[in-house]
Amino acid sequence: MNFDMNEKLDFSYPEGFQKAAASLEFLPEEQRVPMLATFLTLLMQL
Amino acid sequence: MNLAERKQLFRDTLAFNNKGCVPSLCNAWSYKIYDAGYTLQEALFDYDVMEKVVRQFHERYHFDTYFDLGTRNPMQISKALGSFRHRIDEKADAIVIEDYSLMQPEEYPEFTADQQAFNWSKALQRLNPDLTYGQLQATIGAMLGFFGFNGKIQQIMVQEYNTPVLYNAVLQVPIESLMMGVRGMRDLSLDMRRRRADVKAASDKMFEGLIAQAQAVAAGPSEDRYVFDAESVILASTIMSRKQFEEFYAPYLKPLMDTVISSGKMYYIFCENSLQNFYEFFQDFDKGSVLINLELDDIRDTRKKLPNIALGGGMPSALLGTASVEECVDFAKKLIDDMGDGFVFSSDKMLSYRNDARPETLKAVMDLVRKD
Repeated sequence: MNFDMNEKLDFSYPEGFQKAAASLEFLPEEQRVPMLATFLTLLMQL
Repeated sequence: MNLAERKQLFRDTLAFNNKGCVPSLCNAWSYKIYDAGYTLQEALFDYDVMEKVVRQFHERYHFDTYFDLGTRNPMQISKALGSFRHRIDEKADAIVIEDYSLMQPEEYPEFTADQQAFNWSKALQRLNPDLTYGQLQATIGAMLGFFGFNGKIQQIMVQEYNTPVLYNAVLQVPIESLMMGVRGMRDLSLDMRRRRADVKAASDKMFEGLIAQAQAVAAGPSEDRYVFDAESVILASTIMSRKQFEEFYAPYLKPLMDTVISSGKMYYIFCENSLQNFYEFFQDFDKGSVLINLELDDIRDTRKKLPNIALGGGMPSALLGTASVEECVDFAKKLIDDMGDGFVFSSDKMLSYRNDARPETLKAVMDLVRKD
């Protein structure tokens, strides 16, 4: 899938969340959703 | 001392059986950066610099364990995210954190039903509504960099310095996460009066994951690389009445502690501000499992109220920052004598500012308790 890195995120859920996870192409495919989920839990400390 | 011996010293101290050998716990945070001669900006945005800061601090002072290993302020993640709620003020020697709310009061049910969905569709958007796919990638990359540094610095302390990491699992009572994460101090204090049922429902839901985590800690091994198996920081109590503490705090903290302790594990509590209105909560725990690190409370007075709990703290930052070496050493000696067994030497507050200590006073008092 091609992603425009300058495009704004789609904040719908779960569609936008899944698309954003898929965009994390530098990660192995099986790690993308868990890593984005981890990030969302870390949000509470940011 | 090796890792196992250091951990055993803490275990003996929790049981009031340390026979005069006093462990030390470092409660220095941003002060470490100044002590090493760097600015906040230089250290917080460069993990190589932060590693030097942590190494230099340990090689100077030789604490038995450290609350912070340079990972308290993940500013690189915030910067990549484009969130500016944390701001460095070099003139004031401070990292300024705004009180904020990522959730509207009427959104409690939505948050409680699915936190991940809420965090994605509401909280993240409120942090940066213009966030792009490129920024998200950079932010996740910064998060991985932060995790990498955290693992590396822990490994350095454990392998090179035989110094165990303070704790393994973090078990934050739900109301703490509601305050620090989504509602902020001001709004949560209003919610506890106006939306009690919503706050309870959110806390109950969040607790499901927490108690499972505590059960995993109880079932798992107690590794020598960590002093304590679990820790909780108490901060939200500062905005609570005693009645609110009994409703929103105690019903969650008690089972977390009981679960961890029941398997012979050790629990660390850092009490920010004061425990004065809530010390009865801790009166029924047996000796041997809990350390409470105090901040504003008089440690000798607290010892009388909680003779069953090992206590940490007591060395005034105000002295370390302004008094002579002799005055600091005299105070430290008397503190150690007065407290006896069941005491962990530490500062009476988080050392965050440049003047919270001086190298010569800190080194002099640490030489009293240094093991190697």
